Amino acid sequence: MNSPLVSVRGLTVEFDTLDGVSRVIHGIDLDIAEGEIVGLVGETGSGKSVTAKYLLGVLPSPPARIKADSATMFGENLTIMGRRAREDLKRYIAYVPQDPMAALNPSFKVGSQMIDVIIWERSGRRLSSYFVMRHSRSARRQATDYAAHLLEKVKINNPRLVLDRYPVQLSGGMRQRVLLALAISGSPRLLVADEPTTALDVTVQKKIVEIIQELAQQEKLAGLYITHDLGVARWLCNRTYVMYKGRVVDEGRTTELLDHPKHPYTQRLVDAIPRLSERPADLAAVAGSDDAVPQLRVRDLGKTYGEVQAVKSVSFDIRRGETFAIVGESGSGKTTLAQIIARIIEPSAGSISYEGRDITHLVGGDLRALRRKIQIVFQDPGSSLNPRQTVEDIIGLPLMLHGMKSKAARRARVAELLEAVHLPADFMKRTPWALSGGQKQRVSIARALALQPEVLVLDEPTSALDVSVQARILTLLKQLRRKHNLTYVLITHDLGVVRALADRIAVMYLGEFVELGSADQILQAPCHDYTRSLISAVPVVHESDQIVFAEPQPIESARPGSYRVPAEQALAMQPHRAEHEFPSPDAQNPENPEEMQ
Amino acid sequence: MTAPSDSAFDLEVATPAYESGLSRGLARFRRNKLAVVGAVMLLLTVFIALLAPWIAPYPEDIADAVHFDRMLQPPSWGFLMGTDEAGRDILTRLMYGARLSLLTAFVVLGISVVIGVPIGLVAGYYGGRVETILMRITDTFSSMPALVLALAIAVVMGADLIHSMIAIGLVWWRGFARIAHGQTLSLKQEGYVVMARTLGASDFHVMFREILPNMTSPLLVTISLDAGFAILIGTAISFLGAGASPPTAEWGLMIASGRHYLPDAWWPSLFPGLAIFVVVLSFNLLGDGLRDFFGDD
Repeated sequence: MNSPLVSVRGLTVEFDTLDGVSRVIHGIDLDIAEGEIVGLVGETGSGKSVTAKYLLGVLPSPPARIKADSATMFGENLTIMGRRAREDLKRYIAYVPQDPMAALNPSFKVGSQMIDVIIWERSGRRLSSYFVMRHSRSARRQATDYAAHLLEKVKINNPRLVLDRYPVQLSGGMRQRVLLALAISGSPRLLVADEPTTALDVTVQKKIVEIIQELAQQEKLAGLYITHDLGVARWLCNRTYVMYKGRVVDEGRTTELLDHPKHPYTQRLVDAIPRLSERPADLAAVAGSDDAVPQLRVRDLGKTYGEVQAVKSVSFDIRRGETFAIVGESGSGKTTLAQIIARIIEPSAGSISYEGRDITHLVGGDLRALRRKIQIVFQDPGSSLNPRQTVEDIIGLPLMLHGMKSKAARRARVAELLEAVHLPADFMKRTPWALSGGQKQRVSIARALALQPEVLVLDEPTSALDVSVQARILTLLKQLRRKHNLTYVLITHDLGVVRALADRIAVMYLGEFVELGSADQILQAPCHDYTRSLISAVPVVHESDQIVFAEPQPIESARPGSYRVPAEQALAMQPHRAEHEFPSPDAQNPENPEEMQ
Repeated sequence: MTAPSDSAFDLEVATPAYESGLSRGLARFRRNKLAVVGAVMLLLTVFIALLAPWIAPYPEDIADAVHFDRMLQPPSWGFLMGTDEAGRDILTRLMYGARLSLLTAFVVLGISVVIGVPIGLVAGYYGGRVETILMRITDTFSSMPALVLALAIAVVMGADLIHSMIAIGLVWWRGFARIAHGQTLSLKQEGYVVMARTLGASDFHVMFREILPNMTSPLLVTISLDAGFAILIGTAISFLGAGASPPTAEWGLMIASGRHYLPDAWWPSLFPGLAIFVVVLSFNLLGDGLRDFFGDD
């Protein structure tokens, strides 16, 4: 092991809060060696971000009270260091935040913001010389050249073009690259990244992680990489610390840590993540009944917003009792499609029928009757529950609107529903802010079940939750499906969730289905390049998870709604797309996003 | 490295501290020292206004009593704030005037909220032509200076204190319409609103049960901040002669009648002016504190 770049012993952080002193870090030890990337893994509230802020020197004190038995960084003793000297150390530390949009000023071009930082570094971080240099044409030109050079380092092929853009004109992945370029502008020795890829699509995440890997090698950077995603940690980090409630509960070489977890918490985290390679045992061979009339039949469905075609002519059938997953990345149109199916928004073209009856344009009482059959669970339980109402009001609303006028009857039914989602009945009196994320999502599910629907549209039901909570919600969804013979339309970007729940999968890209088939077919023998890139981009947690694609199988029967695109044809349709960051149409880029690559 | 027991990993069971939001809010409020000062001064004002008949030194002086023997006397132990041109005790009149000022704030804001909030709510919720019409009407009111418009309405209705309060209320609602409109536009995107609509809730239910309760915080802050200004305008109208008429003990009117004796006798105008200043300031400090109270930590 090389000489430690950072070595912290017995770090304790307390916060003075309104409710007294709360200790968020309980005496942790942390080492980062030269040239080593260290992972810091934990769920919400584990204290990983506070630890990072301590290393960055940005913990506000007060209210924070920091104690450490010993702490050295770049050979300097942090515990006795004055404010000024600590400030000086910051130039050797680079930081990449979670939300690239919040870190870039929307009113200035990328170039101008990068030049600011570069000149500030060049001026020796002195305001007077900064102002002189900022107005010197040659200094600005040099800084621009350097900015372009930095952007090339993060694999931006057309740096001059990007420098001339505003942040909103760039996709999420591009913004994160710009921030990475900014981070290395001052030749730092330590890179601290706080969940830099959490907000990104998997294919984009893969790209960014590769760039970080390469940069660390090129620039001889050490790194502290904070993430909740064990797969990303495995991919990138030599060693990993597992944090839980302010304590480091486990640490070691990442591969060893994950393949042979020692600590029960690590074991739980590893187990909580649905495996792509593992076919869930409880998946029926052929789910769904083979009725002549499918429960939901969608034909040539389309939705346009002005010029933008969010959904382009999609057709499929969903059988009663099956779980049909629609998978795609941001901007693929999957949420629009979900909302059309749940009759929240009107389609621009095509038709939907429910048990053979056209429901595309139902209004009034007919629509209300349909609502009893099809319910939706939204992605963000924080937003879908009214913060000013109690759980009883929230779950009781659909009951009240559909004819259950007696308050006592409603209360009894709400208690029943709470029990069905494994929440105690006295939660009725709580307001949403007194619930955790997982509990909120359970309340959302209970509300969706209130009218005894037959179809549940699940729009990213677990993406806002920690992995261990996600695992419990997935178990609950499986239970409910069996018990009430529900049909699920599952909308998600997370292939792990799909593997755990889905019988059939449709892969959506830019408003179209590129592939549709059984879960086994799609996940083990994908035909389409996009599907392959999507699956390969999912970081692997356990060594046994490596996916080896089987040969694509021949086309299924031409039965509508279960088509598959043969590999050759798919390749012809999307030449070389897999090599690229797939452009996401949600970035408000008026021009062709491809040219940015 | 101490490993917590296995059951401690039941993350989902570990709910956030279930305690009242009120106590947290109060703690935040108390941290803002100036807000506490504002709240205390307002409470004091309310007490003085309520108890005026019992604590005022010369209760008979609130009306048209005239004491030729003690006209325009400077502050002394007998008359802490001096006497006015009719020999009436200024402290007594200030105490009674507090009642009128607080009543002004109450009536003006009551009218404003009742008119403004539904207009903004309906405009924001329905959008389209309804929104255009309602918000252009609001703009029309906004484009005229509040004092001038209120003065005009008060004059048309006839100079009277209650008329002036109503007049201000008829002008003041525009701010509340704006806030309600903006809040509705953002709140109607929330998942629970979409959900209620999807479930087939009536527009009335969605507007008044789902959306309105979630905008009480900004509304209360605005009410508190605006109360001071409403009092200011009320006293201004009385000062200009379109509100309360003599011999009512109204602060604006007191300044107006005292100003003829400036600069020799400064006390008949200064003390009512100070009273207005203190009450307006208190409402503003309170409003800032309420913003903290409703804020997140």
